Amino acid sequence: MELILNTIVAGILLGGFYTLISLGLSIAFGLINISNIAHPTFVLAGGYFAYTLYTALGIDPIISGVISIPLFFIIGVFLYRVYNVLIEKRGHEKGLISLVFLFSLLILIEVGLLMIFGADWRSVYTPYMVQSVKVGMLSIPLRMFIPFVIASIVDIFFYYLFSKTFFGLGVRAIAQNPSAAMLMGYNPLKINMLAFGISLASAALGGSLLIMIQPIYPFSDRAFIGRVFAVVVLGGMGSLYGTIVASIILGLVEAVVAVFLGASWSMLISFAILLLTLLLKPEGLFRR
Amino acid sequence: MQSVKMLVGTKEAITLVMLFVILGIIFPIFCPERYVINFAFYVLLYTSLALAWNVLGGYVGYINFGSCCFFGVGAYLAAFLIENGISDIWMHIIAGSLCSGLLGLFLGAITLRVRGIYFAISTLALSVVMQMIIINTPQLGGALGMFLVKPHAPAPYPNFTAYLFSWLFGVTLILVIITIYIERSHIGKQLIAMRDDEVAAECIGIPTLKLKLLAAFISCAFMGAVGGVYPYYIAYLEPYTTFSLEFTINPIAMSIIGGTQSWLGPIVGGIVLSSFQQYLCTTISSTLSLLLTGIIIMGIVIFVPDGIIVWLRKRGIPWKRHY
Repeated sequence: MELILNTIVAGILLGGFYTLISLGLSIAFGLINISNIAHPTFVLAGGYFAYTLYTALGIDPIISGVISIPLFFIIGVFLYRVYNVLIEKRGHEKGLISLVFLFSLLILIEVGLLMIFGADWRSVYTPYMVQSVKVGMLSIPLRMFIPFVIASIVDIFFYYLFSKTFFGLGVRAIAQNPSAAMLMGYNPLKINMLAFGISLASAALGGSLLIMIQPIYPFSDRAFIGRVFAVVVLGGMGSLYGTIVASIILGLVEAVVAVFLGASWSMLISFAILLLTLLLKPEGLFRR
Repeated sequence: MQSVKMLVGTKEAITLVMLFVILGIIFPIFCPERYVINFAFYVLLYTSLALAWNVLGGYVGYINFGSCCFFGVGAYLAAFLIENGISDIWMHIIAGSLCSGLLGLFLGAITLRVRGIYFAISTLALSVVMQMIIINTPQLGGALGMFLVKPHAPAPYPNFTAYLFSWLFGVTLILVIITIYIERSHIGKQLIAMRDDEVAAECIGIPTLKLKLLAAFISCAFMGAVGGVYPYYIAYLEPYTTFSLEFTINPIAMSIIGGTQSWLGPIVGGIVLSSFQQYLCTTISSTLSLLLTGIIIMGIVIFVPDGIIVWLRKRGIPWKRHY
């Protein structure tokens, strides 16, 4: 009973973290139509950013996460502009070229990290990471709880941003009908640039929390590609609720499998979820 | 059904047979240096993978990011057969191609019905999953890998790599013939129609899903067949290099460099890029060669998205059009 309860809590905490690294992709993939397979690589880059600040200046990963937000936001804005000029304006966004472009971006970042940081596993240490809070039978490790809390704050912020503000409504309007949105006074290029910036900023924040949860090495992102896309597809592309629900489902199933079958099989879960969703309900659980 | 003669002329058939005899049999037997044959094997390995990748990636436009996975399945199956006393190479090739082909068919049946991006992601995820399965299976060597003892080369061959080269050349030649057949037959025309507009193609009665599955099967099966030759070549099979980035990115890079619309593209791209990489690996480092491959892909995507051959053709160099 105690084990089951602890597993469930661990699953929910893990799922909370997954919302943070999937929400950005859900926006990029579902709303501005960029199949950003390099998204987990940006998460990893955020992790290495936090690692660099930690080793060089001793800055806590949470603070470096906050620092990385504006930095990666600017990178995202710039990157969308490049993508727009090179891919979308030439009419390549549907085919092979856009995916290969993003894939080569993924390779370049991975190999760049490999050349800078080497192939070793990197991690950070802060005193609170090894502590855990005991509530009755439950034991909640802080290194999982803090990412969960931050992810929840980001979720609420995203909910507010995408359902209440002029900008958020604009992103969704452009996803539905760009020309009608332009008539309403939106500039699709500007809005999408900002949205992609937000997408990458959330990835980088996720990365600095990832390095609290587990050590990373330059190819750690591979393990997350299946996960984030499973979450986004299961949740329905561009749906905030869907992404959160799907993340929690994935986190729960992974935690249960890790406890009862062994942690090394947890990677299979996201793959199975991805294939089953595509087979049974390709449009996902929720609509955007 | 068109006659075979219409698809491959007598002259071309003679050329192909001559090519096989000269490059595939006489060259490895009389190859003076071991390094030369290893180099040639390396180039041929990647060129054939690029050709196989291009059947699905270039003709149909569905990107396979898991070449290493289908290749690795063939390689591990061959290694498993070797461990169990079956050392005939034709058996490895057939077993590898069937197994990988069926895997590709299974994945394609689920993901090729929806947008192309899902196939790409599934293959990317599958390569991670497959590597993990191999690492967790002690019978297949686990994370440590398997040592395979190379047998003695049969009579006229100086070493076993030369013997394998003949086999791989045969596999590649069959693949070339299949791709030429695809391009010139009704299948190729249907594929072109499908690539231009899938909905319109479906409307005029082209069985799009069937064609996609056929292409996925051929593509993945040949990756598995190439994998079947690999374990004896490398002699030490372990999951980290077998499922490494090189086997995923190189076929894509080579096809894109040469141009994805004809069978000549992957061959040109394969020979150019793999020779270049081999040179870099021996002179500088393999990490840098990977980085350069990434930069080259990005450069090609930005500056010559149609590939070198089309680029040259537009500038008046008379490459014969085959479709």
